[in-house]
This record gives sequence, structure tokens and C-alpha cells, in this order.
Amino acid sequence: MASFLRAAGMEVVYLGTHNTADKVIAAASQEDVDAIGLSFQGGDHMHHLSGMTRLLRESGLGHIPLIAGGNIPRQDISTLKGMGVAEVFTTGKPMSAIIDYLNNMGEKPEPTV
Amino acid sequence: MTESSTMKEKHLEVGTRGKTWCGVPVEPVYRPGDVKNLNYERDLGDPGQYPFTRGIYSDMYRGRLWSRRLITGCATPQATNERLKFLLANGESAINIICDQPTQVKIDPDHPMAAGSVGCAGVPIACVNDVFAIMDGIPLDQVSTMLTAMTPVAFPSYLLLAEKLGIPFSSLRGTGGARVPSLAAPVCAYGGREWYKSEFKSELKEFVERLVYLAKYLPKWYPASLNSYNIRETGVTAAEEMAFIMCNAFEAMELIIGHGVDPNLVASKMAFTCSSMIDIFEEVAKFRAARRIWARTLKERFGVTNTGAMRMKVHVNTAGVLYRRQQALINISRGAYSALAAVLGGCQSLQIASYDEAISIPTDEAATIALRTEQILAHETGVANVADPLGGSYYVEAMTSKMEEQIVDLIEQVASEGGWTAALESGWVDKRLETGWLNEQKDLENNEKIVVGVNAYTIPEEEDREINFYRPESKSVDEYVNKVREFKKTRSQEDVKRALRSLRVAAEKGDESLLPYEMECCRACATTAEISGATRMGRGLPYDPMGVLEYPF
Repeated sequence: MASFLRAAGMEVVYLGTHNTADKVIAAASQEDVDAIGLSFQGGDHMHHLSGMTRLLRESGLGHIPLIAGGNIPRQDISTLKGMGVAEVFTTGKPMSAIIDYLNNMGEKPEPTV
Repeated sequence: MTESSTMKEKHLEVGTRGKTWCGVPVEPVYRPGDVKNLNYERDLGDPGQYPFTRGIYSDMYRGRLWSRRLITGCATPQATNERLKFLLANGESAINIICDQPTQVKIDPDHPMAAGSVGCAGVPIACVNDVFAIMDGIPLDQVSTMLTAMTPVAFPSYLLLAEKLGIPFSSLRGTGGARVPSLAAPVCAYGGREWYKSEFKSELKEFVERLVYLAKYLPKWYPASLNSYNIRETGVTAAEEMAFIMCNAFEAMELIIGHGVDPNLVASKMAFTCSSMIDIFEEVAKFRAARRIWARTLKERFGVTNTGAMRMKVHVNTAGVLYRRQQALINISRGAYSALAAVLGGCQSLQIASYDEAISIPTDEAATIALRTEQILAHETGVANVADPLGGSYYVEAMTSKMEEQIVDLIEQVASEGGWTAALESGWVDKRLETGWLNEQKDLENNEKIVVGVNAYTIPEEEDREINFYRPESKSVDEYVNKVREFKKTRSQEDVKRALRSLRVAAEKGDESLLPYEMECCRACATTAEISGATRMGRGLPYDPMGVLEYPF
């Protein structure tokens, strides 16, 4: 993902795997990002995204769009959006859709992945 | 293929781009001239004969079918045991256990970072009781067990169970309990690069000791499986899949033999877990070429003299990455075709990914369909009747030679990078993986590759049937986590402390297999995190790989 976004001209701060919500928030705040992207493989998205959205609000970063991707069932999308997730890009969505979304958010985006 | 395609266009539709799935150009037809340099004795041999191009056994599936072995790991040990019994009752012939995300990174289910992930993607294994619960009522001496579960609790506890049931270790069949040392796996199921790097030297030494120990006490056991499946899931080609895992294997073998182990012994204990994708003839050629290269390299480079030890033994997982969430039921076809490729390619053991793999671990129904697909393949299609049925096909022999060329070329490229470890450290391998993934995505989005339901024959999302999928039941997961917390409190703290200390000392000394110490730790009720952590401390690393918890004793 990071390579694809970079190829599209975006600056990406890639945090790798095994992060905590705190680490993501610290990086987002430090790097002054335009968006945050989180990817889920194993079915634990609900738990982590509910924690993440809450922590973002509590840290005063609730204005930063949080995007989720990966193995997320379609049935869960409305619940996630209700929690505050800005958009969900499930596996199978074209990369161009993500690029378009990020580009249309405003000036030159700097997503944290 | 849009709605505006006319009937004529559909009628004239071409089903090919003139290349294999991995982009190898192919001719419209192949002839004797395309295989004129092939020498039967030198390049093929009969099935069961060096160089094993045509299969590792002379009778192949007529003598014995491939193992019908589905990867299993549900939200709790109890649920996993139920699923295993269900699958065995439905005709599964061997088992394969995978653990959940926290266990894969070797933290306990009550670790702060495990919250929300317990029971996801596999079964939590925290302690000996979990293994006993998973295996309850399953005859260890009759069922081959693959432990994809890499926790230091799984295999030692499995041995403790055999001990409890009075089953001699010499009769145990299966795979697992160790990992062939590498600086890093380029792609781990859920692991990180850093750990392997810092533990590499001590891991290698311990693996050598464990290999010798297991060869002596569990002669029918394979300590580890070399996994090329994870690599292939990133989007690299069939040739890259084989080349990379073989480079990994060859380097490890060199190191192990360098520690004084007999090449024949090392070779005989190598086993593979490979992918099978959907271009049938490309996959068949891949497996045939790989067997030939493996046997020749073992003989010529490593001096293996026991012909049987030159056999490349392969368990196949059909590629999960092929599955799409759009019109998910059609993944059943994808699995079937990939399985056909694996069987025509001569695998020893097979799991077909369940159709809902793109979303979650399988439901009972999805797992049953995968199993039945294997059974139809075995009993209705006739593929089991004849060994290497595609042998002699002008196309398949030409493609096998082509695949061999590509694999050997890649192996040489890695050698010129300085070897597998150097190629990993320099980022050369990572670049290939990344390029593979990007190319896959580009091919799909440019319609260079057609994927039914994704960029062709699509239906609106609202009309796409929502399938039932598996969700861990949070109530039973919570109950399980609480049970683990209780268990930690009620066991003898002295016993655990003592066993862990012995393990730590042995890990620090590093001159013998840690398996007996791990068994004592399991017997004393130590957990995954404690055993793994104590070993790490013995090797000079912090207790907790996540850097959150301190050693509790």
C-alpha cells in the first residue's frame, strides 16, 4: 500500500505491523498527517477501530480522517462509519479509488499507513 | 466484459492473453520439436526415480492418496477440538493446527496487546491444557499432525500428551516444533523481521541440536516445514516462489551441515509448504521443475547419497490470495482448479482454502465444501489413477524446462547477491516481493489480467449475496481468557519458576536442544509468553517481544 501511495505522489509514514493505538496517535500528531490508514487481516477490526476512533477524539485528533482496509466484511461498514471511521476500502477495491479519495480530501495528503 | 458486449463479441471472446498467470509467454500449440532436447533418463526418470521430476513415489496416489489436511484453528481450544473431530468424521485424513495472532507473536491471551485479537485467525494456545483440549479424543498415533502453530507450548505439550496416553514417540507422525533458521522469513504469517535477526545465531545452533534429537526420538517427524506459500501470497511468480524457498533451504542446509550433521540426515528432514495457484499447467511445471532442481542440487552440491533423501516432499495450500470477496461462492471453483493443479503436480498433502477465506476463518459449511472438493478430486476425476499423468505432454515438458531455467536463473541471482541472508539484508528480496505485489495490482486494474467478478462479469455490490461467515463468539473467548488468568494464579509458582530458570540457563548455554526443557516448563504449566520470554532472556533479549511486560517471576 505504502509503495502504491508513494508512486501516486503522496508522502507516507509507514509504521509497520504490531502497533498500538498510542503509537499511531503519537505518529499522526508528530507528523501532522492529513489521514490515517489502518489495515486488518484477522477479523479484529471492530475492537481496534472502536478503540482508535475514541482515542483520536480524546486526543483532539478527531478531525483527521481514519480509513480502514483489509478483510473487513461489508456488513460491518455502517457500524464502523457510525463509530467515526471515515471510509472503508475492503480488499478488491481498486487502488485508484483510495488515491481519488485521498486526493479529494484537500491539499496534498500525507497519510500515515 | 461489460453489459454492452454484443452477442457476437461474446461469441468471439478470446480466453487468453497468450501468457501464463505469472506472465510467461506461451505458444498456441506445442510439438515434439519443443521437447527435442529432453532425455527421459536424465531429465525425467520414472515416478519415484531420480531426479523425481515425475513424482517422488513410483505409485503416487494409487499407492496412497495425498493427505486431506485442512488448516484448523477456531476461537477457543474447545471449539477447535469440535471442528477437528467434525472434519475427521467427514473424511479428513490428517490435521493441521494454526494458532491465533497473539499466540503467533508469542504473547499470552491476557497480554494488553492481545485484547480483541484472541481467537482471530486461529486458536489461542497459552498452556499445556489448551493443547490437551485441542487434541482431546484424537488418536495421536493414527493421525498425522501438522503444527503450523509455532508456539513453544504446542509441540512440547503434544509430546506430553503422547506420554500421558502411553503412545511411543517413535510412532508419532507429523510436522512442526521448529523453524528452519533464516535471518528472517521475508513474509511471516504475523511476525516481524527484527526478532529473527537478533536470534539467528542461537536459533541455528538450537535447531541443529533439535534436529538431531528429533531424528533420534521421533523418526517419523519433520521438525519444520519450509514455507513458500507466504512468499507466493505477495504476488511473486511461480519461479520466484520456488527459487526463494530453495535458496532459504540451501543456505540453511549448508549451515546445518557445517555444524557437523550428516547431509543425508538433513536432507531427509526437509519438507515444504507450497502454494498452488490457478494456472494449472504453470503450477504443474513449477512442481516438476522444483523436484528436479531439488534432487540434483542435493546430490551434486550437498553430496547427499541416499536417493530417498533427495525427494522433495510437499504440502500444498491452495492460494488464498486468489479468492475474492465479490461473488464469494465462485471461490469454490478457484479452489478446485488450484487443487487439481497441485494433484497433477504431485503433492503429498493438500488443503483447499475455504471459499470464505477472503473474509474470515472457515465456517463448518465452507470447510466441508473444501474437504468434499478434495474427495471428488480423489474419487471421481480419475487423477489418482496414474502417476504424473501430464508427463510427456509437449506443453508441460516444455513448460517444466522453462520453469527450471527461470528458477535456476533466480537462484544464481541470489548467489551473486551474496546468498540468501545477504539478499534479505540488502533489501533485494523485499524489492522483488514489492514489485510482485505492485505488478499484480496493476495487471488487475489495467484489465491485463481478467479476474471474474472483479474486473469482468461484475455485479453491483448491493446485489451480491452476503455470505455467512465465522465470527469468534466474544463470550466464549472472554471465558477462555479468564480461565487462563485463573490458571496462572492457581498453578505452583515455584514449579514454574524453577522450570523456566532451567530453560533460561540452557538457552544461554546454547549447546543442546531446548525441547526437554520446554517440556518440563509445559509440565509445570508455564505459558507461551513465559517459555518464549525465558528463552529470549537466555539469549540476551528482552522478555516481552512487544516491550510492554516484565518477566513475572
